Amino acid sequence: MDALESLRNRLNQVHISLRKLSEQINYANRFQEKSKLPTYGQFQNQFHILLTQLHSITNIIENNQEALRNSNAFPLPSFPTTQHEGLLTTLLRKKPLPEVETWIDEAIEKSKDLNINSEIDDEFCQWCLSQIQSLREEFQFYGFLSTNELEVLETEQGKLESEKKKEIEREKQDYEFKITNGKKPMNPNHVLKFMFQGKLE
Amino acid sequence: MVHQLCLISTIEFSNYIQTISTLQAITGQVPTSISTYSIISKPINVFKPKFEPGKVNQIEQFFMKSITTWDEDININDPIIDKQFTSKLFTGENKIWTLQIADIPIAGKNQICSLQNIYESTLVYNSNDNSFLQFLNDLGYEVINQFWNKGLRFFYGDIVIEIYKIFIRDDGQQEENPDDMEGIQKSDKITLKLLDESNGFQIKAFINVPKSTDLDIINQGYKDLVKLQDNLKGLVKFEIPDRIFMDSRVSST
Repeated sequence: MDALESLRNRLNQVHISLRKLSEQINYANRFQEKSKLPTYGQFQNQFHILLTQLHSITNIIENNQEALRNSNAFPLPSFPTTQHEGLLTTLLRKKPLPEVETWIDEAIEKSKDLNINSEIDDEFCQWCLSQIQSLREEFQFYGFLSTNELEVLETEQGKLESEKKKEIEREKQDYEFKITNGKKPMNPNHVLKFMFQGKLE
Repeated sequence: MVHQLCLISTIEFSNYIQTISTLQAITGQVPTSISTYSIISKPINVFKPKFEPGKVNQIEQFFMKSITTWDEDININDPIIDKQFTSKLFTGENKIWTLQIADIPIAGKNQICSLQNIYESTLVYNSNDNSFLQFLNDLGYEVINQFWNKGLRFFYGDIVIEIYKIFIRDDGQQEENPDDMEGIQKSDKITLKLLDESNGFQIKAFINVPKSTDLDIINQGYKDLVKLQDNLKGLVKFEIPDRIFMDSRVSST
């Protein structure tokens, strides 16, 4: 029962987000000069939200697969069966609509061509993760240099190299100093003052 | 008249390439170039209304900027060290000039950006007899300074982002070489130097809104500018310019 209730909430959420998206697009179409289409990023976000919502719906359905398959729904005696026969058959239908059935078939057909086995994929991901974790345990991280690099730095050769690096760094600084005259850029306010009043002080 | 929402900052020379690449990535476009020459002029006749109680005396005189294009090939990507630039004199040419007068930006608390009214008019100056300076003089304005502007311009939604350097006339050079001075003047050339000797760049992000009363668009502009400010934080630190420095009223100086 709880699962059914949460399923209803999720479906409602999907409905709301889909409607919001379509409203955004319609609004942009109607008032073209006033508003702009949502940006690419916004679409991406909306799409992501929809995916998460659909995902949680499938999760709920999957967890209660047995119960859903084996239970049948009946109208209460107080339901006006004769007046709302059409509605009743729609509500009680458990089989997918013919068009939905063709969708499902199509999707299955397509996934066959792609040759994806999600279970093996997931297993592989898990394996990678565990490998990384076990590998990480074998190392300890201090600073940015490996032990070998630190050892090289201790030798004469290494000292020369670090000396050279410092030299290059210094040259770069000198070059930049030449460009900037050792000054920071001017305060933008003073530049504006010059542009508006024609003088600096 | 336009109403301009604007934020400013500076870019150090060493950060220039990074900034340009970032802006290119964000805006997804190659920048267009800016190249202008501006004359700043001041009214000749001082207007001093007699102060009378009960009478509105809020009539101000403003500096006027006259802007035209400047076709000089300077690559601002390269640092400028001990180089001499020359530019043609602009007088007496057939030119399109834009006359511009700017109000002092609106005062207020908790501002997001500067808000300023700018009045512009474009003029095709076609007289061969008189120079443009003569025209300004007839209009009642005298030239007090000039500057050259070179830079790049990006468009990001409604926001215009300009990165530029300002050049000014280099008087020092001419005094040092008095022999050359005649030569320079004969060839109608002026030596230029950077206003900002650190080779730094000025950056300005602005949105022009047709009316200062169109609050919807202005609010949208605020949002866009704040977003840009946030996106670029760490690279460019956009600030609200001080309105006092943008005051172009004659009486304020």
